[in-house]
Amino acid sequence: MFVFLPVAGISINLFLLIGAGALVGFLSGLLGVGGGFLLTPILMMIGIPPTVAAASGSCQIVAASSSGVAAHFRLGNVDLKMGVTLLFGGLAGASLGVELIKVLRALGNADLLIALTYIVVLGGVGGMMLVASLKNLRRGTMKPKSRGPARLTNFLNRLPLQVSFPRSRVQHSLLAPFFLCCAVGVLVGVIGVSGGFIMVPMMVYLLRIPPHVAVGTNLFQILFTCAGVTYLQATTNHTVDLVLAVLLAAGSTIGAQIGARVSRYLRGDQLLIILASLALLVAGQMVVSIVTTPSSLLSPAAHASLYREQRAPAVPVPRLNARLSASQSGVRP
Amino acid sequence: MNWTPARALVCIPILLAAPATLLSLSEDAASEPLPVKVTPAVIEVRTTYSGAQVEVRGEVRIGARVIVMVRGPAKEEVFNRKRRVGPIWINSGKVRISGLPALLLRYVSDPAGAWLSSDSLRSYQLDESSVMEHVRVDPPDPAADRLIRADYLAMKAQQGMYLFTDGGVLIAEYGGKRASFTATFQWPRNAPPATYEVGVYEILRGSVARHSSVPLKVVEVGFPAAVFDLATRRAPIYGALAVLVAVLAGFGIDFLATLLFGKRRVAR
Repeated sequence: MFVFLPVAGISINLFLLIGAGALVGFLSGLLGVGGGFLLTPILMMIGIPPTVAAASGSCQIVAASSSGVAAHFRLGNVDLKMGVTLLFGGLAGASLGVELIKVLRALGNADLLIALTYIVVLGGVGGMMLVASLKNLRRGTMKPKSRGPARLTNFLNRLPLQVSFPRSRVQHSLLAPFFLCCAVGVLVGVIGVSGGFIMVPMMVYLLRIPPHVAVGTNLFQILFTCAGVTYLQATTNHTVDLVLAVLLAAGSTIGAQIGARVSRYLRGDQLLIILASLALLVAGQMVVSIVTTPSSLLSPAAHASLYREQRAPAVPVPRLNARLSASQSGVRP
Repeated sequence: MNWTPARALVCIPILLAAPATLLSLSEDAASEPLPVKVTPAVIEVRTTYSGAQVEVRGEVRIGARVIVMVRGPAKEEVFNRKRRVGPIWINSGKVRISGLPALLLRYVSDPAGAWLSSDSLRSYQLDESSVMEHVRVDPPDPAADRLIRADYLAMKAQQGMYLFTDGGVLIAEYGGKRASFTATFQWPRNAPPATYEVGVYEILRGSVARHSSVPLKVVEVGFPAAVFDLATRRAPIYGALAVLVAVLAGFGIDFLATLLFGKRRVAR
């Protein structure tokens, strides 16, 4: 059964869209990742224009993350205080990341740098996470001493504005989550993928937040970030396809519920092993794609024009939107 | 029959007049517009739209061959350009491709051959190579120009937006002077709402004798039209609605899930 997408301007199989949404939603609920790294390429593969795929994907992530947040909130996995701090830090870092990428592009060879950063960050974080989690799994329990370098922990403890985060069962300076998330935001702005892959391990290993709470809290900040992106994309570029987003959301909200419930039966280390494996898989796929000769010299650009833009011309996107749409597009360099 | 000067005087004008009459008949036929009917004239795009069956009918002279060409509005497209840097391939810069129609479908009555002069092919852009002569690649890259054009064509063909067939038009002769033609094809569901042009070319003695074009509109109606209108004309409301719908969908599913699976608070 086909359904016509009014903004994308094409007809797509209904079950294909719901299935794609369900897969991404499951990962979102299970691992606390936004899923943009996976969803946008899938949508582009099935024929959705890149601009619509990225913008509608962010709308879908709002649905999936709100479903996931609600489920995790009830399970006691959302630290609101930590989430708000991370949100502000992430937005600040993202803006810096966008500026940095502009400078890199002006200097030339930015794409090469992006490609290598992508592989190093995803491969490095994924590899370290996998090794640490496997070690913890063998020991039988997650031991705090295995998480985070001692020097860094001491440094974080000496920072001012120390605040207790009861839900996360940690005490940190407000500056610690803010600047950590800011640093992740810069990376997100540069490599153009959603920050879940990096944020969750950072929260676990550096801020010593329990993995389940890290997943729920990260979803909380993703919810607000993507809501902002969706609104900006809809008002400036007119590229949010509500029909597409609703269909993806129908799949993803159910997937997120299943993911959140499955996460209840998994230990923190097991969740991290899955996340690490996924990060390594994406990094590996990236390595293969850049070393093998492509079948075509052309690939769809994220800002490719639509017919409809003759009626609704695209306008430059505000800074935040540009960064966040890039982060949702999952566009590989 | 005995030829006398008087009979000869009568026959000469007749012999002279016959070719002139035939020529004038031919000119009359050539000056007549080529009758073409496209059904449906408007393709309505509703929520469960999945393409449409389009029929192009008309009349040509006996012995004529027919080409039906469907063209979409010209469109500039932007692509990432892949380049090799050392051992790796990366996207390096953008390529703008313009000068080509967004949709191009060609159906013919006879397999491609020498029945149409290359001049006609080029001037009416009736084959792949003549269409591709009008491509503009920006920035130009002479070293990879051929590959870029070929990749673009392959991409459009894969999307079902470019199709050059060696058939698809049926001709049935009747009445001695006229023949009817019919081309029936599936309208690509990926072709977005726009006004397309269905061009029909009557080919006689190796060149285009007559041609005619009929617009074919693809328009959104009902729910898709209302959504598109809201998205473009009332973007702030649409944006807020999109966020609201997404949040409500998320919380709604969560609510349903708690009803189904029960509410459990887990202390960790």
